[in-house]
Amino acid sequence: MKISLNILKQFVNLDGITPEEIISRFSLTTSEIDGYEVKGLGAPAIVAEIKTCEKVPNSSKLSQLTVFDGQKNHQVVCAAPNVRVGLRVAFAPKGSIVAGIELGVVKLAGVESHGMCLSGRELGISTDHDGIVELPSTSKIGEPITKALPFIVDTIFDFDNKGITNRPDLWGHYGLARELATIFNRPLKPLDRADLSIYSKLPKVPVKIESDKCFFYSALRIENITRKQSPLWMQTALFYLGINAHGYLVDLSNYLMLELGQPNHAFDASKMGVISIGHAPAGKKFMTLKDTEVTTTPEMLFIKSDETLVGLAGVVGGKNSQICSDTTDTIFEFATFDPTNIRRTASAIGLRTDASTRFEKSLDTNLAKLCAERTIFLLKQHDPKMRVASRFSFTKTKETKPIKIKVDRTYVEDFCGVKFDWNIVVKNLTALGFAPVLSAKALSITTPTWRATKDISMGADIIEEIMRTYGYDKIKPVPPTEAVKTVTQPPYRAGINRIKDILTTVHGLQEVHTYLWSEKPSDLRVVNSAIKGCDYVRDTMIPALVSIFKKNRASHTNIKIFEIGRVVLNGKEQRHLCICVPDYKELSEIVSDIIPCKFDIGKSGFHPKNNANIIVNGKVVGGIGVYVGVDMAVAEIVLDAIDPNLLVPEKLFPMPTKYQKNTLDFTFEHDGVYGEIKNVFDKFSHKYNMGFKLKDVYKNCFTVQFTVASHEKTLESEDINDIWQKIIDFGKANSLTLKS
Amino acid sequence: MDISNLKKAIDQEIAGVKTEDDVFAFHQKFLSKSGEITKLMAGIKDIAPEKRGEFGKTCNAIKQDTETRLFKIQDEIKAVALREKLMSDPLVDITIPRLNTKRGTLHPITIVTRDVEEVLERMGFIVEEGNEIATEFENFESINIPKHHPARDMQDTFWLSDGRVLRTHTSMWQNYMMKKYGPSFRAICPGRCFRNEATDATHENTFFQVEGMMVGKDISIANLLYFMKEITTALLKRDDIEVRLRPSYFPFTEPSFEMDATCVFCDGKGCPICKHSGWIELFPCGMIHPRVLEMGGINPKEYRGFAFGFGLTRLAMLRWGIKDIRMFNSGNLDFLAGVTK
Ligand SMILES: [Zn+2]
Repeated sequence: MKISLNILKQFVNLDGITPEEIISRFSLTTSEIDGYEVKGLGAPAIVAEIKTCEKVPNSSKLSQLTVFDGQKNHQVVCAAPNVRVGLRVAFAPKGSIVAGIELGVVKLAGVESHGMCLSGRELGISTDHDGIVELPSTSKIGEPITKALPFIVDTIFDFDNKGITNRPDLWGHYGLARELATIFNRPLKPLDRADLSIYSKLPKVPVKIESDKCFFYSALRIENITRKQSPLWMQTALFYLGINAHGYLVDLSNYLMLELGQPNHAFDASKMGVISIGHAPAGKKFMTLKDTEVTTTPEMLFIKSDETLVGLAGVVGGKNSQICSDTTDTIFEFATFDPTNIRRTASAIGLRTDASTRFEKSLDTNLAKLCAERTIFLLKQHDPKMRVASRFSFTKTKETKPIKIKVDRTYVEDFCGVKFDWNIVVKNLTALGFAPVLSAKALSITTPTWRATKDISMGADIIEEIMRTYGYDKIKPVPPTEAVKTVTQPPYRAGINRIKDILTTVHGLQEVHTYLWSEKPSDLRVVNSAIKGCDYVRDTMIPALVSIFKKNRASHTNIKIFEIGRVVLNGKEQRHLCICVPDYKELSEIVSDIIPCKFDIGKSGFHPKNNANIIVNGKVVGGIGVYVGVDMAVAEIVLDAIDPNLLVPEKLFPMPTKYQKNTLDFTFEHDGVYGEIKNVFDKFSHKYNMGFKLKDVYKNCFTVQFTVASHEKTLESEDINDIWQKIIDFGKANSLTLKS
Repeated sequence: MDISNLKKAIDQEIAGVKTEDDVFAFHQKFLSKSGEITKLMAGIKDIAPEKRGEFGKTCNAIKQDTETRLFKIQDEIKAVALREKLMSDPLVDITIPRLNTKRGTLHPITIVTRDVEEVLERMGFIVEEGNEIATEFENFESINIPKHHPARDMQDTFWLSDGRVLRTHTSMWQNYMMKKYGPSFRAICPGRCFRNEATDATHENTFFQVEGMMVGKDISIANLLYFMKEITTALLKRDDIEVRLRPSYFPFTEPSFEMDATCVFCDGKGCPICKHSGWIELFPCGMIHPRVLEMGGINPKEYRGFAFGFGLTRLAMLRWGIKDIRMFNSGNLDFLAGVTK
């Protein structure tokens, strides 16, 4: 939101404070200001008067002027229609820089021109280029234009909108002036406004509220408005704030909104009947004054004139009732609408206007009347011949009332960790419009209505007001009084960290992250995904990892990747581990390294042939599959299905024996996979058994090597013979026969 | 031989010792039991008794000196022999890498998350992990974002076909943590969050945040500032960092702040990265809103707390100067291999 320093200065004296200070103090107390820009300093013109004015022969538009700048006369050729003798103009003599170009002497239709009379656009104060700027007849000839029109020089701040979404009172200059007055400890000037009670004998403007989405509606009829152009200062201010001039009434309406934060609307009174505020049947067409067509829905709130839709409440006026160049009588609307309704409507039709942006912040219903009073005050100044033709006519379904809050002083100090000078606290709150009453133990506060719509409702809100105006820099870091307790971390964390470490450091895998959604159909979809067709919430991570595998294959060999992430299966979210490696011989070893598991061959369906279920404590927790043709082996494990304690094994470092170890090799003939042999001997137990491993495999012959030893002694040959025979017997009992 | 002749003979012959065999021969001739020095020493009986002491000393000195010289020569001979042996090894390229090595790498997000966890664990925080899918209540209502709240518009939420949402922030986990650990606890919850927005170099629909909170009897804004400063100091690994609070607005905290820290790129002097302010915005934080405490089953009249959060993805980008946020989920193995701790 753009904010003009000139307008702020009407309400608070900010002399001696630099824009940088304003930005820094406001950012530390209230909200961010993104930056500022100084306007008008380079305005190149001086005040001059047109002494003679003649048509240039052979030209329909051009006039030849003599322009006097207080010292000498200049011959100037000008195309503006509003040139006339005696007019004071903004004159840029030759050599001045206008719109980035240095003026030289030019010949137009054969006549030399030594300078320019500037239009609003050329002066940089409006978009107007239909004629030259007409200065007041009191302007002093020869004066620099910035002295004659001091409002040309302004500092425009860019306030961060997001930071003040919860502060409806800061969406106008007057509210910001109040905030700055508090911050810089300077008085806020009262707002000049008219007394509307003197019109109470005048007829009413009939108004009917038909929907509780309209909180407050008031109207004033004003007649005989003859002024067509708004004052140059107002046009300039609006232009600097991003709004183009549209004629006096529209400019005034816009200016009031920027000044007070209260959107309002001026209807052409000649087109208005009995006003009602309510809903319209669905499917009707409504033409806005921005020339866009809106199709009505039952939720939208409309201003109606004898059942004709004349305004989309709080968002935009209607084409059919807008102010025209010949409008002399107007009905001004000052209203408050339901913020949610306005926000929904504006977002539904994709038209967020300056008005809707303010209404959706929850405006104070009392602001409407204030705005009406201000409107009449300004109208009287700008167009003394205008006539107020109605009383201030209002009706309401809701009213913003002040809120009373009491806070304990000790509580506030404990909450902040600061000892306050309470006189300063009271002074600051008073400056913000609160009515604080201090007692020995407590602080009682009545909020102003402009802070009572949603922003302030409880003690914590008041503490914020106290603390931020007192200064957050008064808070010093203090450690808590409560001692640090040793905490026990949730069980899965250590296990997951260990898995990641083993996979990356022992097995050389790369950790990847993939998206939660997938092309593979599942039970759950993202309904508003931008990526059509890839909007299923994944129930497996394999497709994503395979896709990374394939994507990198052209530029990498030996791609080894894993992800620990979340999937949703049968509506239940769970943690999965997915591994993808090129060499299938690695896979079962990797899986066994991270989880104490067995493989149940041929059950997982990961591959029609080459697959196995991963079994932990008799429970299936995942599967593996091997795709020989593409050199890819995958495993997916449901981590949440495994007892987290198993993921962090205790016995990682068994004591080695001091005595001699012996190895015994057995070659089994087996028409199956090694995993089956392993499953058998995993169950073999003998006091001298120190473990076994696959030593060699040829065709269907598997050589398994057992290590046998004792912790108590060097094994005798009869000990070795005993275990040797028992291994053979155990194999035989489980259908494993030695190669003959 | 007398002493002077012996010395001459030793000097003469030791100069000719060039091999292990020479060493052996020399030792035999002079130092062994039947060697010349022993023989000389045996002649002590013919010496006048008052001169025997001096004679013995001289003999021993000769013996020791000769031994030392011989051993030194022997060491040199061995060193030369070893070098000759090693020189017969084949010449190899000692700079050559193993071909086709695969280095394991942790994802950059894992690395920064562990850093953050480690810092906060030291301060007594529990590390909790939350679901990525949340009910509307969990994601919004439970942290004081009622239906119709404008904050719901600001966050472009991914909605699911079963009516749930992909969590838009880890802040939603405040409610869970309070119910599980409340009322007195410290906890953080790192995790993945989702926003329905178009992606480009600085925007991702999938990113990581961490939420932290502390609830207790007498928690104050001064305590919040203390923790924020400690965390910042530990994360940035610098002890000269200043911090400050600025007002901000979040529905789930009151008051709400942005915490700024001294810009580490210019030490607070002002640079383009901090927009010449000398400060960089690090953590949004605030005192937990009484309604949020209430919904977490904690009595706001008895307990208070603070909450803070920040983007882990942003932290990783800052730390390694990663320019394109889309790299994190790209599965680009060159990128992922580039970040090693
Ligand atoms: Zn900097």
